[in-house]
Amino acid sequence: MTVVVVDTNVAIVANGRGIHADPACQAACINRLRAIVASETVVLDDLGAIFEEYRKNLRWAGAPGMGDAFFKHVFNNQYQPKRCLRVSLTPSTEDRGFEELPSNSFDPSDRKFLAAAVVSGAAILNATDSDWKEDAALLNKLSVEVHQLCPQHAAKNRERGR
Amino acid sequence: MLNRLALENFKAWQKADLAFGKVTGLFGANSAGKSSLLQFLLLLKQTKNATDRGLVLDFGGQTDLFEGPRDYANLGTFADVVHRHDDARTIRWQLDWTLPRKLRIDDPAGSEAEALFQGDRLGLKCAVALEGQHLRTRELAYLFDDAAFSIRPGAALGDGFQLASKGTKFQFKRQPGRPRPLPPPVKTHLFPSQAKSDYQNSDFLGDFELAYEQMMDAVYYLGPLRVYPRRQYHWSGASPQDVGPSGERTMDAVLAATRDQEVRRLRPRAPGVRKIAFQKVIAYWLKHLGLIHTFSLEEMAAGTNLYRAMVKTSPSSTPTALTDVGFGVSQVLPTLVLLYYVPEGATVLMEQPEIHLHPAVQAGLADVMLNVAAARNVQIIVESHSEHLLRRLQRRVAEESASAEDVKLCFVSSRRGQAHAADLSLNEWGEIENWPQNFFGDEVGEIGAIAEASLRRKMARAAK
Repeated sequence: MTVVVVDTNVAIVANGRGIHADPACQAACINRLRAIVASETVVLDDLGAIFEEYRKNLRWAGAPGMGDAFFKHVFNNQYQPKRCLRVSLTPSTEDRGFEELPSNSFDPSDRKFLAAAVVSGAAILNATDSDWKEDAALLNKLSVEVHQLCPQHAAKNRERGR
Repeated sequence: MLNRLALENFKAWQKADLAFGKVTGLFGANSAGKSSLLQFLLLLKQTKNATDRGLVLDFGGQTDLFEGPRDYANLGTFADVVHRHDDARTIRWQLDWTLPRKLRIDDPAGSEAEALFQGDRLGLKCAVALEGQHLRTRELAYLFDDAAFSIRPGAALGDGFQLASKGTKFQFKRQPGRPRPLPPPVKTHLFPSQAKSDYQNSDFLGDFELAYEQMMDAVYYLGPLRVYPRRQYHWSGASPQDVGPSGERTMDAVLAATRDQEVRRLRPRAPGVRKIAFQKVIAYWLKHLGLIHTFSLEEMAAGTNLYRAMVKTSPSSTPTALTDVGFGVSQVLPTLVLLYYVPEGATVLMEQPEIHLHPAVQAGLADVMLNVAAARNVQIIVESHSEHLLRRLQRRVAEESASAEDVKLCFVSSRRGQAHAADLSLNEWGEIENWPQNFFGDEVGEIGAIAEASLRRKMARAAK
């Protein structure tokens, strides 16, 4: 069974509300989330950090999109080992986010995904966040793979220096 | 309060083992076997109520041309209810419940100071099968204080039945000179009268029988469908036992409770929590659920015994007859009335109370149930398809206004013609740890399919 860490931006793009991603990117995110819901395993952490990140960005109000549906799937199945793998993370008081990570310059909101990937050995799915491309050296060192669902966007953002 | 039902060979259930809480939710697909669990309890209730002591189980179906107590369940014959219609099978069950107060049995031969048995939990075990053409209760046992007291066939054919005890030093003693075998048990909960006359120390079996009958009397039922509201209600002044399986006696119940100046507590017993008038409690919930602003039952003219139910949908709207507002009120009214009409300590069985109700009201029903369970010590067993009701139960556990131990959730599914029940493990955070696949259909799949299809078409149109 494929195990994946899903960056919130994948679900946000799949929802398609107020995003700058192109339709091909949105389609890629929708299709991947559908595959995940059907038969893959999503990595969560026992601190609830990833869950909280989803909760803040995804909601069931209004007309729910595929990203919101993904969150509902995660909520319903958070204790089902086939559906959600819960890894243990240790918050760090130092400026690296989690004990499981070396010193790093990642955005605080991305660190939970990185730490969860380190502990689980699962790949991170990314749609539009350029950070995952910028620090390729650290990702290499940690043997963390990042699957770019929208390579066109990750590159564009980097060119723009975002 | 019912604690557990274990059942074998009834309808789609080869085996069922169900734990009940203060509020128990039975969920699952259509025709999975949820209703048959409630029907079984109703079968026991109507058997207990049956006037004919010669029948073993009262499957119902007697036609009542005139108004009178209707059957709770109409189940056909033994062959219709036995698993796979295989009439060679034995229907067996064990029902465990908590008594309203402790039961103490003194040793008829011993001193009064020491109880022979005592406890506040009682169980009944029974087995029913065909013998030739005749349905027979093959075995009946009451389980009390870690011991079992039963009536069962003797070892050899033609031995008839005899009393037996297990798990205790106590032994039944025959009256001298009465070695005759006993006839079979009566219905599914009574010992034949010879079981008392032919033994020296078996009188206490009557305490068990009585406790069983009281428990069954405390079981109430409301079905999923409702009678149409009427323009006017004739009330004879009688106090009905319940609101009827379709809510047909709801207004009688409200009028009787109002006349008798019955009062109810809206919140659990606590300093400052006062009891309020019955109709006010009902009106409170109708308003709180967002259905209507006010509700009242008024006599059309003094002495006519004709009443009409009037509602105001908002503070400024004109009073309207119940017949002239939507179905929501007349759907939910019997539920509310029954939950407050039954005596404290009762068990209420309900099927799909959410029908016709807006999702917000469905969620609110969960609050009604939790409130009644806490404030009135009423046990509620509800069969439902409502995700909204379930979510509100989860939420109240997460918020700590209900405890996960009091809420039992069960998911019923069908595999190759066999019904299966899985306890949904609701943790102290209100989360369900074993969410069944496609619990409420494949909603996520539907949304994914919409998102994928609409985007594909938009992209194709843009490319033109």
